[in-house]
Amino acid sequence: MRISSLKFYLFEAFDNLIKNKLMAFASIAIVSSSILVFSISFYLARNINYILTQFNNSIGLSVILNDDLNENDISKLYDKISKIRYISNVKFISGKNGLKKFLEEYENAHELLEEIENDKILPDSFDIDLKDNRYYGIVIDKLENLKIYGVERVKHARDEIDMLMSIRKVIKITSTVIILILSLISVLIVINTIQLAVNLRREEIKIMKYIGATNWFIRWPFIIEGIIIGLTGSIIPVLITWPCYSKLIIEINNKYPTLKNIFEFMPGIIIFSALMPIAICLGIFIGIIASAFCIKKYLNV
Amino acid sequence: MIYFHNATKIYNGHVKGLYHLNLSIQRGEFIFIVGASGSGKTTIVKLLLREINLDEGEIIVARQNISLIKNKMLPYYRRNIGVVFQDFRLLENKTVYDNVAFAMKIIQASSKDIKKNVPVVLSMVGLEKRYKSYPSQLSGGEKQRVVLARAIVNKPPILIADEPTGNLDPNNSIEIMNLLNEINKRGTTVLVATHAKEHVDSMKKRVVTLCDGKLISDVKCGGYNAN
Repeated sequence: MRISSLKFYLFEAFDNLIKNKLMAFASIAIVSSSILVFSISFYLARNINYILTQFNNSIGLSVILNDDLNENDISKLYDKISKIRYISNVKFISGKNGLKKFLEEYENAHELLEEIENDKILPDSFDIDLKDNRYYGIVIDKLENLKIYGVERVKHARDEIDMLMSIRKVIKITSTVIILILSLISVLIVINTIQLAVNLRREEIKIMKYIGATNWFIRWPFIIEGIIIGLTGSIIPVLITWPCYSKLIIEINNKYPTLKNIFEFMPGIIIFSALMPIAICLGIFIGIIASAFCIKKYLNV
Repeated sequence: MIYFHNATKIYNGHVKGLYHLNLSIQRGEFIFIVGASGSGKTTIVKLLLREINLDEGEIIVARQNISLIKNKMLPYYRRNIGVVFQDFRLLENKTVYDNVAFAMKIIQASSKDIKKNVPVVLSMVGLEKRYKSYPSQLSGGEKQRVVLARAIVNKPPILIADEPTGNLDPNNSIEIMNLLNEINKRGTTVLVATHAKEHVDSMKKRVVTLCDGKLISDVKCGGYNAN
């Protein structure tokens, strides 16, 4: 495309937008409202995912060892566990250290336990970190198989993990479906709006065809118009939702300060930087599809 | 330059738009196509612009069978034909200058050429002072002169005018006919489909008369005898 042609297309597109202000405003408003709903779902989905990840990470996996293992047995077992795929880290916690850790976490338990002098109140164990929580089940099964080497039991929260995984899956599917439906609705509404603009200019398109304009020459200004509508319509809601979200989490955290101990909301800037390109692409896509679709039937002159 | 061989166009399965027409038009000719309403004048214009397709026969323009031109190449073919309509078909939201410049922009002419050629053509049709006006501010005659300027600005070898004086008063009609004659003298092949008996009679050009889609007479330096 020549620079002079690009200048012409841009001029035509802006000129048409200005001349059909009302129609352009209506189209932008429709794209904006669709992207707004999309943005809200996006903020919700990202937060739910973020919070679930925090819960997920806090759920540990540990292997409780038999009391009768000597150092050599423990070392062999350590090697076997470390070799299991999907395990990123294995940490040995002796019964003594386990008690110390327990007392650090639950200070009130001091009084209860002060009369107990036996260091071996808690068994030796391994704390295990996974590379990916999705393989939790497989790792548990493999650890269970190590019972003959001195594993007494595997302490896990398989049910809770499974539940979190299915919640995450449902949210992922739901948000994808919502986004697809919203995009489709937006395209249909924008098609309707741009169709009106194209109808008003069908005579103009006919004249252009008679004097030898190629289809792309006619199409480009409409497509650029669609891009401008889509771009404006997507930037506005994204710029609105970011400060609103940031203000909202500050308000929630102020009102419910204890919430911070349970989970944290995802920082607005992270969601904003992920949302902005997606929303822009979606907006532009809606604009291009709608204008290309509208103009198609008038090009066969 | 333009050849119709057995050209036949039937509308709705039975209405004869054009029936076995054989006609040849040489380069640089001025030709009137006359006939009553429904005789096939506009069908010829539409066929030459490839707005509609033939049912039988062929039309050769500048050595190419226009039925064989692919849709993708159609705009490039149309650029060889300047076209003037009875109802002007100007872009209402563009000035006189922009309407004419638009035809050059379509063929991706450089800004320099546009700035050079548009004023020349506007001056040729006598509208150099009205270049800033919008179509709604012009009279019928002025509008048709803008259409003429737009049609010739790219210097097409062929100019087709479909009832160019149909919406004009006698004085403006004479001016438009004189302009068409002027354009023809510069080497453009001009084909005018018209009802305007007085112009056909006075200009003493080749006259092809149609009736119900059939050619009934083809006279050099002829007059209007459609009825």
